[in-house]
Amino acid sequence: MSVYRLYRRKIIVFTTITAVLSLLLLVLSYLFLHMGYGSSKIIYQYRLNRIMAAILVGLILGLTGALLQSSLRNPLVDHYILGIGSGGVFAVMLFYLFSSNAYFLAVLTIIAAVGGLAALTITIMVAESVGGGDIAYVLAGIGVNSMFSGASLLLTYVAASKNPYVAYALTGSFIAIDPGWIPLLVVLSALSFVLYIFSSKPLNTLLMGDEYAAQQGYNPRITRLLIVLFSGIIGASVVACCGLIGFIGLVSPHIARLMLGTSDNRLVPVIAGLTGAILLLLSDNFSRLVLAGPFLVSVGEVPAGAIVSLFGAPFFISIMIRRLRGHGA
Amino acid sequence: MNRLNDILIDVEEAGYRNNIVFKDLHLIIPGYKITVILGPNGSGKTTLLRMLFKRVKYRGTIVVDFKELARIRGSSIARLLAYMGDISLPEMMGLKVFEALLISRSGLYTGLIEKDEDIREAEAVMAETGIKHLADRRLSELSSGELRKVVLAMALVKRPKYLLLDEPDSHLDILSRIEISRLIKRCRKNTTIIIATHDPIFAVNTADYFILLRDGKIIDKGAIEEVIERKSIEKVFGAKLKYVYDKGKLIGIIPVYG
Repeated sequence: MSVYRLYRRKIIVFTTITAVLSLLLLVLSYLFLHMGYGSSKIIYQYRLNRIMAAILVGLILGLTGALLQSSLRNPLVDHYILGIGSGGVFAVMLFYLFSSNAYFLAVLTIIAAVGGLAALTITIMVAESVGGGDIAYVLAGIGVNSMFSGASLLLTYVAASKNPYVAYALTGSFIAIDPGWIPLLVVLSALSFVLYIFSSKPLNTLLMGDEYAAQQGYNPRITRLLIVLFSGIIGASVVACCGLIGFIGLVSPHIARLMLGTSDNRLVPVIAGLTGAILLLLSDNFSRLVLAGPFLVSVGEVPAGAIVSLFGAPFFISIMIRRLRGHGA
Repeated sequence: MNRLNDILIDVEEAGYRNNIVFKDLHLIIPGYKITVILGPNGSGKTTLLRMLFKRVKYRGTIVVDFKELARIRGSSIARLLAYMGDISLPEMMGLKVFEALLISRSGLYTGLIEKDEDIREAEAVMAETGIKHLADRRLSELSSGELRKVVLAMALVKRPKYLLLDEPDSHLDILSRIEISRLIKRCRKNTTIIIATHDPIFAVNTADYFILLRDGKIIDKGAIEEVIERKSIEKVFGAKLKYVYDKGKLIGIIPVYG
Protein backbone atom coordinates (compact mmCIF):
# COMPACT_ATOMS: atom_id res chain seq x y z
CA MET A 1 0.00 0.00 0.00
CA SER A 2 2.85 2.36 0.70
CA VAL A 3 4.25 1.50 -2.70
CA TYR A 4 0.98 2.47 -4.22
CA ARG A 5 1.06 5.79 -2.39
CA LEU A 6 4.64 6.48 -3.36
CA TYR A 7 4.21 5.69 -6.99
CA ARG A 8 0.74 7.08 -7.42
CA ARG A 9 1.92 10.35 -8.89
CA LYS A 10 4.37 8.58 -11.12
CA ILE A 11 1.54 6.35 -12.32
CA ILE A 12 -0.50 9.38 -13.36
CA VAL A 13 2.41 10.93 -15.22
CA PHE A 14 3.37 7.61 -16.78
CA THR A 15 -0.14 6.78 -18.02
CA THR A 16 -0.72 10.17 -19.54
CA ILE A 17 2.65 10.23 -21.27
CA THR A 18 2.19 6.66 -22.51
CA ALA A 19 -1.22 7.46 -23.90
CA VAL A 20 -0.04 10.61 -25.65
CA LEU A 21 3.10 8.92 -26.98
CA SER A 22 1.24 5.91 -28.32
CA LEU A 23 -1.18 8.23 -30.05
CA LEU A 24 1.69 10.17 -31.58
CA LEU A 25 3.35 6.93 -32.64
CA LEU A 26 0.09 5.82 -34.17
CA VAL A 27 -0.26 8.99 -36.20
CA LEU A 28 3.38 8.94 -37.27
CA SER A 29 3.29 5.33 -38.39
CA TYR A 30 0.09 6.06 -40.22
CA LEU A 31 1.71 8.94 -42.07
CA PHE A 32 4.79 6.79 -42.74
CA LEU A 33 2.78 3.97 -44.23
CA HIS A 34 0.53 6.37 -46.04
CA MET A 35 3.44 7.63 -48.02
CA GLY A 36 3.75 4.12 -49.28
CA TYR A 37 6.97 2.96 -47.64
CA GLY A 38 7.36 -0.76 -47.85
CA SER A 39 3.77 -1.84 -47.84
CA SER A 40 1.27 -3.15 -50.27
CA LYS A 41 -1.41 -0.94 -51.65
CA ILE A 42 -4.29 -2.74 -50.01
CA ILE A 43 -2.77 -2.19 -46.59
CA TYR A 44 -2.15 1.51 -46.73
CA GLN A 45 -5.16 2.42 -48.79
CA TYR A 46 -7.77 0.34 -47.06
CA ARG A 47 -6.83 -1.64 -43.96
CA LEU A 48 -4.68 1.06 -42.43
CA ASN A 49 -7.45 3.65 -42.52
CA ARG A 50 -9.80 1.21 -40.98
CA ILE A 51 -7.47 0.28 -38.15
CA MET A 52 -6.69 3.91 -37.44
CA ALA A 53 -10.38 4.80 -37.39
CA ALA A 54 -11.25 1.92 -35.06
CA ILE A 55 -8.48 2.85 -32.63
CA LEU A 56 -9.29 6.55 -32.57
CA VAL A 57 -13.06 6.07 -32.32
CA GLY A 58 -12.60 3.57 -29.48
CA LEU A 59 -10.33 6.02 -27.71
CA ILE A 60 -12.77 8.89 -28.04
CA LEU A 61 -15.78 6.83 -26.98
CA GLY A 62 -14.01 5.38 -23.94
CA LEU A 63 -12.66 8.73 -22.82
CA THR A 64 -15.88 10.70 -23.27
CA GLY A 65 -17.82 7.82 -21.71
CA ALA A 66 -15.70 8.13 -18.58
CA LEU A 67 -16.21 11.90 -18.48
CA LEU A 68 -19.98 11.55 -18.97
CA GLN A 69 -20.28 8.95 -16.21
CA SER A 70 -18.26 10.97 -13.72
CA SER A 71 -19.89 14.30 -14.41
CA LEU A 72 -23.41 12.91 -14.17
CA ARG A 73 -22.36 10.73 -11.18
CA ASN A 74 -24.05 7.90 -12.99
CA PRO A 75 -22.36 4.58 -13.79
CA LEU A 76 -25.03 3.68 -16.34
CA VAL A 77 -24.62 6.34 -19.02
CA ASP A 78 -22.61 6.76 -22.20
CA HIS A 79 -23.18 8.52 -25.51
CA TYR A 80 -25.44 5.70 -26.63
CA ILE A 81 -27.68 5.47 -23.54
CA LEU A 82 -28.12 9.25 -23.33
CA GLY A 83 -29.40 9.30 -26.91
CA ILE A 84 -26.53 11.52 -28.10
CA GLY A 85 -25.38 8.99 -30.67
CA SER A 86 -28.75 8.36 -32.24
CA GLY A 87 -29.40 12.09 -32.30
CA GLY A 88 -26.23 12.41 -34.35
CA VAL A 89 -27.23 9.56 -36.68
CA PHE A 90 -30.63 11.13 -37.20
CA ALA A 91 -29.12 14.48 -38.12
CA VAL A 92 -26.76 12.84 -40.59
CA MET A 93 -29.66 10.95 -42.20
CA LEU A 94 -31.63 14.16 -42.49
CA PHE A 95 -28.67 15.78 -44.15
CA TYR A 96 -28.40 12.98 -46.72
CA LEU A 97 -32.10 13.40 -47.36
CA PHE A 98 -31.90 17.05 -48.27
CA SER A 99 -28.47 17.35 -49.80
CA SER A 100 -26.74 16.19 -52.88
CA ASN A 101 -23.97 13.63 -52.83
CA ALA A 102 -21.21 16.17 -52.61
CA TYR A 103 -20.30 16.98 -49.03
CA PHE A 104 -17.37 17.65 -46.77
CA LEU A 105 -16.64 15.26 -43.96
CA ALA A 106 -16.12 18.17 -41.57
CA VAL A 107 -19.62 19.43 -42.39
CA LEU A 108 -20.99 15.97 -41.69
CA THR A 109 -19.19 15.92 -38.35
CA ILE A 110 -20.64 19.26 -37.34
CA ILE A 111 -24.11 18.12 -38.34
CA ALA A 112 -23.76 14.99 -36.22
CA ALA A 113 -22.57 17.14 -33.34
CA VAL A 114 -25.61 19.41 -33.66
CA GLY A 115 -27.94 16.40 -33.76
CA GLY A 116 -26.24 14.92 -30.70
CA LEU A 117 -26.52 18.23 -28.91
CA ALA A 118 -30.24 18.42 -29.64
CA ALA A 119 -30.78 14.89 -28.30
CA LEU A 120 -28.66 15.64 -25.25
CA THR A 121 -30.67 18.78 -24.53
CA ILE A 122 -33.91 16.83 -24.65
CA THR A 123 -32.51 14.10 -22.40
CA ILE A 124 -31.21 16.58 -19.83
CA MET A 125 -34.43 18.60 -19.85
CA VAL A 126 -36.63 15.55 -19.41
CA ALA A 127 -34.37 14.02 -16.75
CA GLU A 128 -34.03 17.24 -14.77
CA SER A 129 -37.76 17.89 -14.88
CA VAL A 130 -38.35 14.63 -13.04
CA GLY A 131 -35.69 15.14 -10.42
CA GLY A 132 -32.44 14.40 -12.24
CA GLY A 133 -31.61 11.12 -10.50
CA ASP A 134 -29.64 8.19 -11.96
CA ILE A 135 -32.71 6.36 -13.14
CA ALA A 136 -34.27 9.54 -14.55
CA TYR A 137 -31.26 10.07 -16.82
CA VAL A 138 -31.18 6.47 -18.01
CA LEU A 139 -34.92 6.35 -18.69
CA ALA A 140 -35.01 9.75 -20.41
CA GLY A 141 -31.96 8.73 -22.43
CA ILE A 142 -33.48 5.42 -23.49
CA GLY A 143 -36.62 7.27 -24.55
CA VAL A 144 -34.75 9.85 -26.61
CA ASN A 145 -32.48 7.15 -27.99
CA SER A 146 -35.32 5.00 -29.30
CA MET A 147 -37.11 8.04 -30.65
CA PHE A 148 -34.14 9.09 -32.78
CA SER A 149 -33.18 5.50 -33.67
CA GLY A 150 -36.71 4.86 -34.89
CA ALA A 151 -36.75 8.05 -36.93
CA SER A 152 -33.32 7.22 -38.36
CA LEU A 153 -34.48 3.74 -39.31
CA LEU A 154 -37.32 5.28 -41.29
CA LEU A 155 -34.97 7.69 -43.01
CA THR A 156 -32.49 4.92 -43.79
CA TYR A 157 -34.54 3.71 -46.73
CA VAL A 158 -34.53 7.12 -48.37
CA ALA A 159 -30.98 8.04 -47.46
CA ALA A 160 -29.61 4.70 -48.64
CA SER A 161 -30.47 5.67 -52.19
CA LYS A 162 -27.82 8.39 -51.93
CA ASN A 163 -25.25 6.57 -49.88
CA PRO A 164 -25.71 2.80 -49.63
CA TYR A 165 -23.42 2.53 -46.61
CA VAL A 166 -25.73 4.71 -44.56
CA ALA A 167 -27.64 1.62 -43.46
CA TYR A 168 -24.63 0.69 -41.32
CA ALA A 169 -24.93 3.89 -39.29
CA LEU A 170 -27.39 2.35 -36.86
CA THR A 171 -25.21 -0.60 -35.94
CA GLY A 172 -21.85 1.04 -36.35
CA SER A 173 -19.29 -0.20 -38.84
CA PHE A 174 -15.93 0.72 -40.30
CA ILE A 175 -16.67 -0.79 -43.69
CA ALA A 176 -17.05 2.53 -45.44
CA ILE A 177 -14.21 4.47 -43.88
CA ASP A 178 -13.00 7.32 -46.02
CA PRO A 179 -9.31 8.26 -45.54
CA GLY A 180 -10.49 11.82 -44.97
CA TRP A 181 -11.86 10.82 -41.58
CA ILE A 182 -8.46 10.15 -40.05
CA PRO A 183 -7.31 13.75 -39.59
CA LEU A 184 -10.75 14.67 -38.25
CA LEU A 185 -10.62 11.82 -35.75
CA VAL A 186 -7.11 12.82 -34.69
CA VAL A 187 -8.38 16.33 -34.01
CA LEU A 188 -11.37 15.01 -32.08
CA SER A 189 -9.23 12.74 -29.91
CA ALA A 190 -6.84 15.62 -29.24
CA LEU A 191 -9.84 17.71 -28.19
CA SER A 192 -11.07 14.98 -25.87
CA PHE A 193 -7.61 14.85 -24.26
CA VAL A 194 -7.72 18.60 -23.70
CA LEU A 195 -11.18 18.24 -22.17
CA TYR A 196 -9.89 15.47 -19.91
CA ILE A 197 -6.99 17.59 -18.65
CA PHE A 198 -9.27 20.49 -17.75
CA SER A 199 -12.03 18.42 -16.21
CA SER A 200 -10.24 15.75 -14.20
CA LYS A 201 -9.80 17.84 -11.06
CA PRO A 202 -13.33 19.27 -10.92
CA LEU A 203 -14.73 15.83 -11.74
CA ASN A 204 -12.98 14.33 -8.73
CA THR A 205 -14.75 16.82 -6.48
CA LEU A 206 -18.11 16.37 -8.25
CA LEU A 207 -17.85 12.66 -7.52
CA MET A 208 -18.41 13.45 -3.84
CA GLY A 209 -21.50 15.55 -4.40
CA ASP A 210 -22.52 19.05 -5.40
CA GLU A 211 -21.99 20.70 -2.02
CA TYR A 212 -18.54 19.20 -1.77
CA ALA A 213 -17.62 20.50 -5.22
CA ALA A 214 -18.96 23.95 -4.33
CA GLN A 215 -16.81 24.25 -1.21
CA GLN A 216 -13.86 23.19 -3.36
CA GLY A 217 -14.51 26.26 -5.47
CA TYR A 218 -16.33 24.78 -8.45
CA ASN A 219 -19.84 25.73 -9.41
CA PRO A 220 -21.28 22.22 -9.69
CA ARG A 221 -24.08 22.99 -12.15
CA ILE A 222 -21.94 24.97 -14.57
CA THR A 223 -19.02 22.55 -14.34
CA ARG A 224 -21.26 19.56 -14.97
CA LEU A 225 -23.07 21.25 -17.83
CA LEU A 226 -19.84 22.23 -19.59
CA ILE A 227 -18.27 18.78 -19.27
CA VAL A 228 -21.43 16.94 -20.36
CA LEU A 229 -21.87 19.34 -23.26
CA PHE A 230 -18.34 19.04 -24.59
CA SER A 231 -18.00 15.29 -24.12
CA GLY A 232 -21.47 14.90 -25.64
CA ILE A 233 -20.50 16.93 -28.68
CA ILE A 234 -17.27 14.98 -29.19
CA GLY A 235 -19.10 11.65 -28.72
CA ALA A 236 -21.76 12.65 -31.23
CA SER A 237 -19.28 13.85 -33.86
CA VAL A 238 -17.76 10.39 -34.02
CA VAL A 239 -21.11 9.00 -35.08
CA ALA A 240 -20.80 10.77 -38.44
CA CYS A 241 -17.77 8.61 -39.19
CA CYS A 242 -18.68 5.11 -38.12
CA GLY A 243 -22.26 5.14 -36.93
CA LEU A 244 -23.72 4.21 -33.61
CA ILE A 245 -21.46 2.02 -31.49
CA GLY A 246 -22.83 1.27 -28.06
CA PHE A 247 -21.35 -0.54 -25.10
CA ILE A 248 -17.76 0.72 -25.57
CA GLY A 249 -18.43 4.05 -23.90
CA LEU A 250 -20.37 2.34 -21.13
CA VAL A 251 -18.03 -0.49 -20.33
CA SER A 252 -14.55 0.93 -20.94
CA PRO A 253 -14.66 3.32 -17.94
CA HIS A 254 -15.80 0.48 -15.71
CA ILE A 255 -13.03 -1.81 -16.94
CA ALA A 256 -10.59 1.04 -16.32
CA ARG A 257 -11.90 1.66 -12.79
CA LEU A 258 -11.80 -2.02 -11.92
CA MET A 259 -8.31 -2.50 -13.32
CA LEU A 260 -6.98 0.59 -11.58
CA GLY A 261 -8.85 -0.08 -8.35
CA THR A 262 -9.79 3.59 -8.12
CA SER A 263 -12.21 6.10 -9.61
CA ASP A 264 -9.67 8.92 -9.66
CA ASN A 265 -10.60 10.93 -12.73
CA ARG A 266 -7.01 11.82 -13.39
CA LEU A 267 -6.45 8.20 -14.42
CA VAL A 268 -9.77 6.66 -15.41
CA PRO A 269 -10.51 8.58 -18.64
CA VAL A 270 -7.07 7.83 -20.14
CA ILE A 271 -7.22 4.13 -19.34
CA ALA A 272 -10.85 4.02 -20.46
CA GLY A 273 -9.77 5.55 -23.76
CA LEU A 274 -7.04 2.95 -24.25
CA THR A 275 -9.45 0.14 -23.27
CA GLY A 276 -12.01 1.44 -25.73
CA ALA A 277 -9.40 1.58 -28.49
CA ILE A 278 -8.29 -2.02 -27.89
CA LEU A 279 -11.86 -3.33 -27.64
CA LEU A 280 -13.02 -1.63 -30.79
CA LEU A 281 -9.94 -2.67 -32.76
CA LEU A 282 -10.45 -6.29 -31.70
CA SER A 283 -14.12 -6.08 -32.62
CA ASP A 284 -13.44 -4.62 -36.02
CA ASN A 285 -10.78 -7.21 -36.81
CA PHE A 286 -13.12 -9.95 -35.76
CA SER A 287 -16.01 -8.48 -37.72
CA ARG A 288 -13.91 -8.75 -40.87
CA LEU A 289 -12.97 -12.36 -40.15
CA VAL A 290 -16.03 -13.96 -38.69
CA LEU A 291 -18.14 -14.37 -41.79
CA ALA A 292 -15.54 -13.84 -44.44
CA GLY A 293 -12.97 -16.14 -42.91
CA PRO A 294 -12.48 -19.88 -42.75
CA PHE A 295 -15.45 -20.55 -40.49
CA LEU A 296 -18.22 -19.95 -42.96
CA VAL A 297 -18.86 -19.35 -46.54
CA SER A 298 -17.95 -15.81 -47.41
CA VAL A 299 -21.08 -13.70 -47.09
CA GLY A 300 -19.58 -10.32 -46.31
CA GLU A 301 -18.96 -8.90 -42.88
CA VAL A 302 -20.74 -8.18 -39.63
CA PRO A 303 -20.83 -4.57 -38.44
CA ALA A 304 -18.29 -3.93 -35.70
CA GLY A 305 -20.95 -2.41 -33.47
CA ALA A 306 -22.66 -5.78 -33.30
CA ILE A 307 -19.43 -7.55 -32.35
CA VAL A 308 -18.24 -5.16 -29.63
CA SER A 309 -20.24 -6.82 -26.89
CA LEU A 310 -18.81 -10.18 -27.86
CA PHE A 311 -15.40 -9.08 -26.59
CA GLY A 312 -16.35 -6.48 -24.08
CA ALA A 313 -19.02 -8.29 -22.11
CA PRO A 314 -17.12 -11.41 -20.99
CA PHE A 315 -14.05 -9.34 -20.12
CA PHE A 316 -16.17 -6.90 -18.17
CA ILE A 317 -18.08 -9.58 -16.29
CA SER A 318 -14.97 -11.55 -15.38
CA ILE A 319 -13.09 -8.50 -14.13
CA MET A 320 -16.13 -7.32 -12.21
CA ILE A 321 -16.61 -10.63 -10.45
CA ARG A 322 -12.91 -10.86 -9.59
CA ARG A 323 -12.82 -7.36 -8.11
CA LEU A 324 -16.16 -7.09 -6.44
CA ARG A 325 -16.26 -10.49 -4.79
CA GLY A 326 -16.01 -9.58 -1.11
CA HIS A 327 -14.88 -6.05 -1.85
CA GLY A 328 -17.88 -3.91 -2.63
CA ALA A 329 -17.66 -1.30 -5.33
CA MET B 1 -9.45 38.13 22.77
CA ASN B 2 -8.71 37.41 19.17
CA ARG B 3 -11.74 38.36 17.12
CA LEU B 4 -10.03 38.56 13.74
CA ASN B 5 -11.91 35.71 12.16
CA ASP B 6 -15.43 36.92 12.90
CA ILE B 7 -18.05 36.34 10.26
CA LEU B 8 -20.49 39.19 9.81
CA ILE B 9 -23.89 38.54 8.30
CA ASP B 10 -26.10 41.50 7.54
CA VAL B 11 -28.67 40.32 5.08
CA GLU B 12 -32.08 41.66 4.11
CA GLU B 13 -33.18 38.58 2.25
CA ALA B 14 -31.64 35.23 1.48
CA GLY B 15 -32.90 32.00 0.01
CA TYR B 16 -33.50 30.05 -3.15
CA ARG B 17 -35.23 31.01 -6.36
CA ASN B 18 -38.80 30.87 -5.10
CA ASN B 19 -38.26 30.23 -1.44
CA ILE B 20 -36.95 33.01 0.79
CA VAL B 21 -35.52 31.40 3.91
CA PHE B 22 -34.15 34.39 5.81
CA LYS B 23 -35.48 37.90 6.18
CA ASP B 24 -33.48 40.57 8.04
CA LEU B 25 -30.78 38.32 9.34
CA HIS B 26 -28.16 40.11 11.40
CA LEU B 27 -25.51 38.02 13.00
CA ILE B 28 -21.90 37.96 14.12
CA ILE B 29 -20.28 34.55 14.34
CA PRO B 30 -17.27 34.85 16.64
CA GLY B 31 -13.86 33.83 15.34
CA TYR B 32 -11.73 31.03 16.82
CA LYS B 33 -14.71 29.61 18.67
CA ILE B 34 -17.07 26.74 18.18
CA THR B 35 -20.49 28.05 17.27
CA VAL B 36 -23.47 25.79 17.12
CA ILE B 37 -26.52 26.55 15.06
CA LEU B 38 -29.24 24.71 16.94
CA GLY B 39 -32.73 24.25 15.63
CA PRO B 40 -35.34 21.73 14.53
CA ASN B 41 -35.41 20.17 11.07
CA GLY B 42 -36.22 22.70 8.38
CA SER B 43 -35.25 25.73 10.44
CA GLY B 44 -32.65 26.94 7.94
CA LYS B 45 -29.47 25.60 9.57
CA THR B 46 -28.04 24.12 6.41
CA THR B 47 -29.07 27.17 4.38
CA LEU B 48 -27.18 29.38 6.81
CA LEU B 49 -24.05 27.27 6.34
CA ARG B 50 -24.43 27.12 2.57
CA MET B 51 -24.80 30.90 2.49
CA LEU B 52 -21.20 31.19 3.65
CA PHE B 53 -19.84 29.64 0.47
CA LYS B 54 -22.08 31.37 -2.03
CA ARG B 55 -24.57 28.55 -2.49
CA VAL B 56 -27.52 30.74 -1.49
CA LYS B 57 -28.57 33.99 -3.14
CA TYR B 58 -28.70 36.94 -0.74
CA ARG B 59 -29.30 40.69 -0.67
CA GLY B 60 -27.04 42.46 1.80
CA THR B 61 -23.57 41.96 3.14
CA ILE B 62 -21.69 38.93 4.35
CA VAL B 63 -18.13 39.50 5.47
CA VAL B 64 -15.85 36.49 5.67
CA ASP B 65 -12.15 36.90 6.33
CA PHE B 66 -12.40 40.73 6.09
CA LYS B 67 -13.82 40.52 2.60
CA GLU B 68 -17.27 40.80 1.12
CA LEU B 69 -18.25 37.25 0.23
CA ALA B 70 -19.48 38.16 -3.24
CA ARG B 71 -16.00 39.40 -4.11
CA ILE B 72 -14.22 36.21 -3.04
CA ARG B 73 -13.47 33.94 -5.98
CA GLY B 74 -14.26 30.24 -6.03
CA SER B 75 -10.62 29.20 -5.84
CA SER B 76 -10.10 31.38 -2.75
CA ILE B 77 -13.18 29.90 -1.13
CA ALA B 78 -11.66 26.46 -1.57
CA ARG B 79 -8.62 27.58 0.44
CA LEU B 80 -10.59 29.57 2.99
CA LEU B 81 -13.22 27.17 4.23
CA ALA B 82 -14.34 23.59 4.32
CA TYR B 83 -17.97 22.48 4.36
CA MET B 84 -18.83 18.89 5.11
CA GLY B 85 -22.25 17.36 5.09
CA ASP B 86 -23.04 13.83 4.02
CA ILE B 87 -20.69 12.26 1.53
CA SER B 88 -21.91 9.46 -0.68
CA LEU B 89 -20.26 8.19 -3.81
CA PRO B 90 -22.14 6.74 -6.76
CA GLU B 91 -22.18 2.98 -7.02
CA MET B 92 -19.26 1.46 -8.96
CA MET B 93 -17.29 4.67 -8.50
CA GLY B 94 -15.58 4.10 -5.20
CA LEU B 95 -12.60 5.89 -3.71
CA LYS B 96 -10.19 4.97 -0.98
CA VAL B 97 -9.94 7.08 2.16
CA PHE B 98 -6.47 8.32 1.31
CA GLU B 99 -7.58 9.31 -2.19
CA ALA B 100 -10.55 11.19 -0.78
CA LEU B 101 -8.20 13.16 1.48
CA LEU B 102 -5.94 14.01 -1.44
CA ILE B 103 -8.92 15.12 -3.52
CA SER B 104 -9.87 17.41 -0.65
CA ARG B 105 -6.46 19.00 -1.00
CA SER B 106 -6.96 19.47 -4.74
CA GLY B 107 -8.12 23.07 -4.38
CA LEU B 108 -4.82 23.95 -2.74
CA TYR B 109 -2.35 22.97 -5.42
CA THR B 110 -2.18 23.95 -9.06
CA GLY B 111 -1.71 21.39 -11.77
CA LEU B 112 -2.99 17.86 -11.90
CA ILE B 113 -0.70 16.16 -9.42
CA GLU B 114 -0.47 16.65 -5.68
CA LYS B 115 2.77 17.86 -4.10
CA ASP B 116 4.74 16.19 -1.32
CA GLU B 117 3.24 18.67 1.10
CA ASP B 118 -0.27 17.47 0.29
CA ILE B 119 0.64 13.87 1.00
CA ARG B 120 2.32 14.89 4.25
CA GLU B 121 -0.73 16.89 5.35
CA ALA B 122 -3.06 14.01 4.51
CA GLU B 123 -0.97 11.63 6.60
CA ALA B 124 -0.78 14.12 9.47
CA VAL B 125 -4.55 14.60 9.50
CA MET B 126 -5.09 10.85 9.46
CA ALA B 127 -2.90 10.56 12.54
CA GLU B 128 -4.71 13.46 14.25
CA THR B 129 -8.14 11.98 13.67
CA GLY B 130 -7.06 8.40 14.37
CA ILE B 131 -8.01 6.97 10.99
CA LYS B 132 -4.57 5.83 9.86
CA HIS B 133 -5.69 2.22 9.77
CA LEU B 134 -8.48 3.14 7.34
CA ALA B 135 -6.19 4.72 4.73
CA ASP B 136 -6.64 2.03 2.12
CA ARG B 137 -10.24 1.15 2.84
CA ARG B 138 -12.96 2.20 0.46
CA LEU B 139 -15.39 4.89 1.60
CA SER B 140 -18.31 2.56 0.88
CA GLU B 141 -16.94 -0.10 3.24
CA LEU B 142 -16.78 2.16 6.29
CA SER B 143 -19.23 2.17 9.19
CA SER B 144 -21.14 5.39 9.91
CA GLY B 145 -18.81 6.26 12.76
CA GLU B 146 -15.68 5.68 10.67
CA LEU B 147 -17.16 7.60 7.76
CA ARG B 148 -17.94 10.59 9.98
CA LYS B 149 -14.34 10.69 11.14
CA VAL B 150 -13.10 10.43 7.57
CA VAL B 151 -15.44 13.23 6.50
CA LEU B 152 -14.11 15.38 9.33
CA ALA B 153 -10.57 14.55 8.22
CA MET B 154 -11.49 15.53 4.66
CA ALA B 155 -12.45 18.95 5.99
CA LEU B 156 -9.40 19.31 8.25
CA VAL B 157 -6.93 18.31 5.56
CA LYS B 158 -7.58 21.62 3.84
CA ARG B 159 -6.41 23.39 7.02
CA PRO B 160 -9.29 25.82 6.60
CA LYS B 161 -9.78 29.09 8.44
CA TYR B 162 -13.47 28.30 8.67
CA LEU B 163 -14.84 24.85 9.27
CA LEU B 164 -18.54 24.38 8.51
CA LEU B 165 -19.95 21.07 9.69
CA ASP B 166 -23.48 20.04 8.80
CA GLU B 167 -24.76 17.54 11.37
CA PRO B 168 -21.42 15.89 12.12
CA ASP B 169 -23.21 13.83 14.78
CA SER B 170 -26.00 12.30 12.71
CA HIS B 171 -26.47 8.51 12.72
CA LEU B 172 -23.81 7.98 15.37
CA ASP B 173 -23.74 5.93 18.53
CA ILE B 174 -22.85 7.49 21.87
CA LEU B 175 -19.13 6.77 21.86
CA SER B 176 -18.67 7.97 18.26
CA ARG B 177 -20.48 11.19 19.14
CA ILE B 178 -18.13 11.80 22.04
CA GLU B 179 -15.11 11.09 19.83
CA ILE B 180 -16.30 13.45 17.09
CA SER B 181 -17.00 16.15 19.65
CA ARG B 182 -13.52 15.71 21.10
CA LEU B 183 -11.91 15.92 17.65
CA ILE B 184 -13.82 19.09 16.83
CA LYS B 185 -12.86 20.72 20.11
CA ARG B 186 -9.22 20.01 19.45
CA CYS B 187 -9.32 22.16 16.27
CA ARG B 188 -10.66 25.26 18.00
CA LYS B 189 -7.24 26.90 18.44
CA ASN B 190 -6.69 27.99 14.86
CA THR B 191 -10.07 27.50 13.23
CA THR B 192 -13.46 29.13 13.41
CA ILE B 193 -15.91 26.27 13.60
CA ILE B 194 -19.62 26.42 12.86
CA ILE B 195 -21.73 23.34 13.44
CA ALA B 196 -25.35 22.80 12.47
CA THR B 197 -27.13 20.25 14.60
CA HIS B 198 -30.50 19.46 16.14
CA ASP B 199 -29.08 17.57 19.08
CA PRO B 200 -28.83 19.85 22.13
CA ILE B 201 -26.73 17.35 24.09
CA PHE B 202 -24.06 17.26 21.42
CA ALA B 203 -24.28 21.03 21.11
CA VAL B 204 -23.92 21.74 24.81
CA ASN B 205 -20.89 19.50 25.12
CA THR B 206 -19.12 20.85 22.06
CA ALA B 207 -19.81 24.51 21.53
CA ASP B 208 -18.87 27.86 23.06
CA TYR B 209 -21.50 29.96 21.38
CA PHE B 210 -25.09 29.21 20.45
CA ILE B 211 -27.35 30.46 17.71
CA LEU B 212 -30.90 29.20 18.06
CA LEU B 213 -32.81 29.10 14.81
CA ARG B 214 -36.43 28.39 14.04
CA ASP B 215 -38.30 29.00 10.77
CA GLY B 216 -35.49 31.20 9.48
CA LYS B 217 -35.58 33.47 12.52
CA ILE B 218 -32.98 33.77 15.22
CA ILE B 219 -34.69 33.02 18.50
CA ASP B 220 -31.64 33.67 20.66
CA LYS B 221 -27.86 33.71 20.66
CA GLY B 222 -25.14 33.71 23.27
CA ALA B 223 -23.29 31.51 25.72
CA ILE B 224 -25.05 28.42 27.03
CA GLU B 225 -25.94 29.83 30.47
CA GLU B 226 -27.63 32.88 28.96
CA VAL B 227 -29.54 30.80 26.47
CA ILE B 228 -30.81 28.42 29.13
CA GLU B 229 -31.79 31.24 31.46
CA ARG B 230 -33.99 32.74 28.79
CA LYS B 231 -35.64 29.33 28.19
CA SER B 232 -34.72 29.63 24.50
CA ILE B 233 -33.92 26.00 23.79
CA GLU B 234 -37.47 25.10 24.87
CA LYS B 235 -38.81 27.79 22.59
CA VAL B 236 -36.81 26.60 19.59
CA PHE B 237 -37.84 22.97 19.80
CA GLY B 238 -41.29 23.59 21.24
CA ALA B 239 -40.76 20.88 23.85
CA LYS B 240 -40.33 20.62 27.60
CA LEU B 241 -36.73 20.01 28.64
CA LYS B 242 -34.95 18.93 31.81
CA TYR B 243 -31.34 19.94 32.39
CA VAL B 244 -28.90 17.56 34.02
CA TYR B 245 -26.03 19.02 36.03
CA ASP B 246 -23.00 17.22 37.39
CA LYS B 247 -20.94 19.16 39.94
CA GLY B 248 -22.40 22.43 38.70
CA LYS B 249 -21.61 21.67 35.05
CA LEU B 250 -24.35 21.14 32.51
CA ILE B 251 -23.88 17.68 31.00
CA GLY B 252 -27.18 16.86 29.44
CA ILE B 253 -30.59 17.91 28.25
CA ILE B 254 -33.49 15.50 28.34
CA PRO B 255 -36.78 16.06 26.54
CA VAL B 256 -39.84 15.36 28.65
CA TYR B 257 -42.32 13.11 26.82
CA GLY B 258 -46.08 13.19 27.37
